[in-house]
Amino acid sequence: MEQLGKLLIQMIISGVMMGFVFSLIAMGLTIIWGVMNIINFAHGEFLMIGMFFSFFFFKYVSIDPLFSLPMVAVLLFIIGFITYHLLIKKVLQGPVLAQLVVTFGLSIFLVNLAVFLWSADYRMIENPIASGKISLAGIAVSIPELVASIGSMIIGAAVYWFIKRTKTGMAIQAISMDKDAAAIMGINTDRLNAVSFAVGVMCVGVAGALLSNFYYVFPEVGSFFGVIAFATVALGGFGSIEGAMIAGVIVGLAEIVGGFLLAPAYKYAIVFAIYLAVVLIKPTGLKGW
Amino acid sequence: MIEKRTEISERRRTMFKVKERVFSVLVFTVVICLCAVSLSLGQEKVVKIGAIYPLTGNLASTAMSSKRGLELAADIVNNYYDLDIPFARTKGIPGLNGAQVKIIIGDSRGDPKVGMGEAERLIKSEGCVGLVGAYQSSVTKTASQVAERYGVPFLNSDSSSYALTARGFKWYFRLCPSNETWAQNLVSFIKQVEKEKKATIKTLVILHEDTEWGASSADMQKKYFTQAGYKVLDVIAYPAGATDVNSEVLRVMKAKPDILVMNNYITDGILYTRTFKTLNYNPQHFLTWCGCSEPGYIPAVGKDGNYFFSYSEFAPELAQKRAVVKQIMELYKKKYGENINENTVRAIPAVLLMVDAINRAKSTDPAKMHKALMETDIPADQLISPWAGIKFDPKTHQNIYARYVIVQILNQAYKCVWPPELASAKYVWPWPEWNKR
Amino acid sequence: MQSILQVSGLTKKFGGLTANDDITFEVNRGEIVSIIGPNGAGKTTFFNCLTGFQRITSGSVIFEGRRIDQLSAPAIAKLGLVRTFQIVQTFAGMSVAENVIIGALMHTRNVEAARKRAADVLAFTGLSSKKDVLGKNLTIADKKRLEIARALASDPKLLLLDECVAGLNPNEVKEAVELLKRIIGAGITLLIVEHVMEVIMPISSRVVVLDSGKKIAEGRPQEIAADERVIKAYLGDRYDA
Repeated sequence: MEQLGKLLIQMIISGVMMGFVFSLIAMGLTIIWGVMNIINFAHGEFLMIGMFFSFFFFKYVSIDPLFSLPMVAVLLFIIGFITYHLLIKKVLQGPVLAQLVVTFGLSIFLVNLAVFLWSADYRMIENPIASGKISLAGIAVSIPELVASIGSMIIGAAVYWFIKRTKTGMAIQAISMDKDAAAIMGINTDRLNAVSFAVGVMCVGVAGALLSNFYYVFPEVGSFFGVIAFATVALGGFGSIEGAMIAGVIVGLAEIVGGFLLAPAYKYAIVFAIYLAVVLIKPTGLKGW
Repeated sequence: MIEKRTEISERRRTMFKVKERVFSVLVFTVVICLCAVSLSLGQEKVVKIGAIYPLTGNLASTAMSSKRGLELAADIVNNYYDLDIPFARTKGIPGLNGAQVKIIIGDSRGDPKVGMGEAERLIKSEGCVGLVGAYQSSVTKTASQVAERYGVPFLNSDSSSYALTARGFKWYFRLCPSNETWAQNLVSFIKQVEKEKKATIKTLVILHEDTEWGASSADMQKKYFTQAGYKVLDVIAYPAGATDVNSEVLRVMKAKPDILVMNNYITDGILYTRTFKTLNYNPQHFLTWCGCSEPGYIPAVGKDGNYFFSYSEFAPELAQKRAVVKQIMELYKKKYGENINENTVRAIPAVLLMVDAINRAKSTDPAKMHKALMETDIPADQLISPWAGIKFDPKTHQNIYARYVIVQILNQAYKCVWPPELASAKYVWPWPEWNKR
Repeated sequence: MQSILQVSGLTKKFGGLTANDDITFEVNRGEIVSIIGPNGAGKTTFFNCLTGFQRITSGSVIFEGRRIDQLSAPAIAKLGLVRTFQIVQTFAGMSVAENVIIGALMHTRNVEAARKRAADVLAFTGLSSKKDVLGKNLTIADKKRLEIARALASDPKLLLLDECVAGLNPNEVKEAVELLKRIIGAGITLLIVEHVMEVIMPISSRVVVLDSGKKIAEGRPQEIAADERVIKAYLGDRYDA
């Protein structure tokens, strides 16, 4: 019994830690969806790019992922900004199908580009500063996971502050809730679309950089996290930032605790079952409007 | 008068037209015949073998090694190499006027449906005389169904699901051992450990990813370990491509088995290694299947990969016993700049056997090839795999001489530890605990 | 009196359909002008054209001496011509206060200054007690009030109200009219589209009547009420019978 209790605490800690990373990934996705009504199918691939950048900084310039984080964030912001202007902007006025297909195509393109440039090999950052673990009363906390979750929390909080407390952030919120009303408030949609796409891509890129401390890097890695991010955003409510934050933790917990109590084979089924249950009671998700 | 003249010239013109027609028909016939001859010559000249592998998706790096193996085999057949294996010292297929072999690749993306479509394309549109592949058992299952329907040989040297040979297909042949073989090999190894190390091994937990391959391997392990008197405490399935495996490992820890038997691919393999270390999980030992043997594994986990037992279908130790193995290893290294690995070694005999069957049949006629395949009896010394030879069971078409070797990762390298006659290192048992290394 | 908005020859066609046909009139500073007309008269299209949501087919719109008919909706709003919507469009996931802050941020980057201005506007519109309620949880009357508050916070020179009393009960209508009077008192010019004539006529300085996209009458409320064309437009053929 005591052993079971310990295992449970262990799981809750691991679940919450992974959950914060999911939250940050989902925040990026939900911002992009909210502002542009575009489902960014390439979201996971931007995570992959963030991971690769961290890896390259570590391998070729010997900068630890923790210190290269700001640079990765800036790079991903720029990539997001450019992607918006080259691609997303062009299809926003087009038919819905074009909008769906463009990010889907981008996702396939980025994966293949990564395979072409960097090969399909698995890479791992060996012995980063954030490594090892802390053991307390038989509970093990992996330091890289802890760093990733604290990092995600800090970046998540910063983005939350930006969205809730700055003029640009409030304008982004306004667009995501009502485009027409935002227009009569003098809000220039085009400029803010670019900013929010860039911020969304930066969020997921930073999550990638944090994950690279303990997760293997390879071109297809984005698809794993991408699928979870969609479920998280749907659970939290499309477009809702608070929703994405809360849902991320729920998904992290469901994956680990649910997997343990029922059967690991069903852990993603559990995540989706929770999502279905929430949607039945509240079709807009936890925090949607 | 004028009329007459017109008539004559008219007749002449008609005559001329007839001549012209006959002539043009003649020319046309000759051209067609020439084309047909050259076409049939062309057909004899190149024999296409279709290969289905998951070249994109999370097994892409693995499939790349297989693809290189296929290309190397084709190269050995097509060109002169001074190597002591069949078809090396000749150019092309001797029994088919020196016809060249061409490998046509189909990308399954790891998806059974896509694999099926690719098999169809390779046979129907590309005109391949036989298929090899397809790595994942689930893809092999569907792709070989297509080959069965069209009556084209499917030589499988890298899928291990027991169920594949249990179907009793006419055109499906498996060169490699199956997961049933692996379960038997594991039990023999554990018996040997109990004797040599005086270890008390009574219980185990089986962990497997939930596709066809993982599930059927786990079934076989459960069957053979139970038969041998061990207690299987739990069989845990988990989704392939998980982002986190904490819950799986915690379940194993709760069950407290003596040994943990794992069936996983490389991605989860890396994740498990990290999680075992973080949670400081130390059973008597880990017996892994597949994940730890893939080329990306050791580079990704480094020292943390040490001491895991895994399987192999390639024993570099063979290089000391047979010069040709060493030569091929060097040839591969020179050509691709990386060390040969078991995926390459598995892919090579599929191509060589297909060529051998065509050579003996002296034809690419499916019925003749089938007969030749059924009569196959290749001794171990013509192989670069650690198999005891190639000979197919008349009913299941499983290679009855196929077997695995068990390796342990020592100093970040695979060392063969079983069977005893191939062993090159002493194995470490029990597992050295994570925090005492 | 100085004119703030001049509309001349405004025409809007959707394919073969002419929604607004050659509309010309002016609004003077400090006035309260109402646009009335039966359903489908083209009132909302007209508002969309003025505020940049739709491009006009021909004609011109001049606001404070500047041509605005080619500008985007945000640009027009920034010049001080702000509208509300017939179907209320509050920011559903934001609180009442945040909704108004968005309006106040139009002319400042400083969120604190915007917050102060929002508080003043909330007091002015009588929404202070509901400032923390989410936009989506308000009653229709409060949502309409919030839209006006949000528009006021952006410091408009000319406020366009699209059916701001439709769907309200008599009590709420009375309160809304009180608010309109206070807005006029604050020196803001109003252009109102309204379906419910009897509410709006008494407070209007002038009335413009649209029917089938055309301006059919313009004048002081009493004149309009007696205008035969107007009565016919509203009552249709039954008037003749």
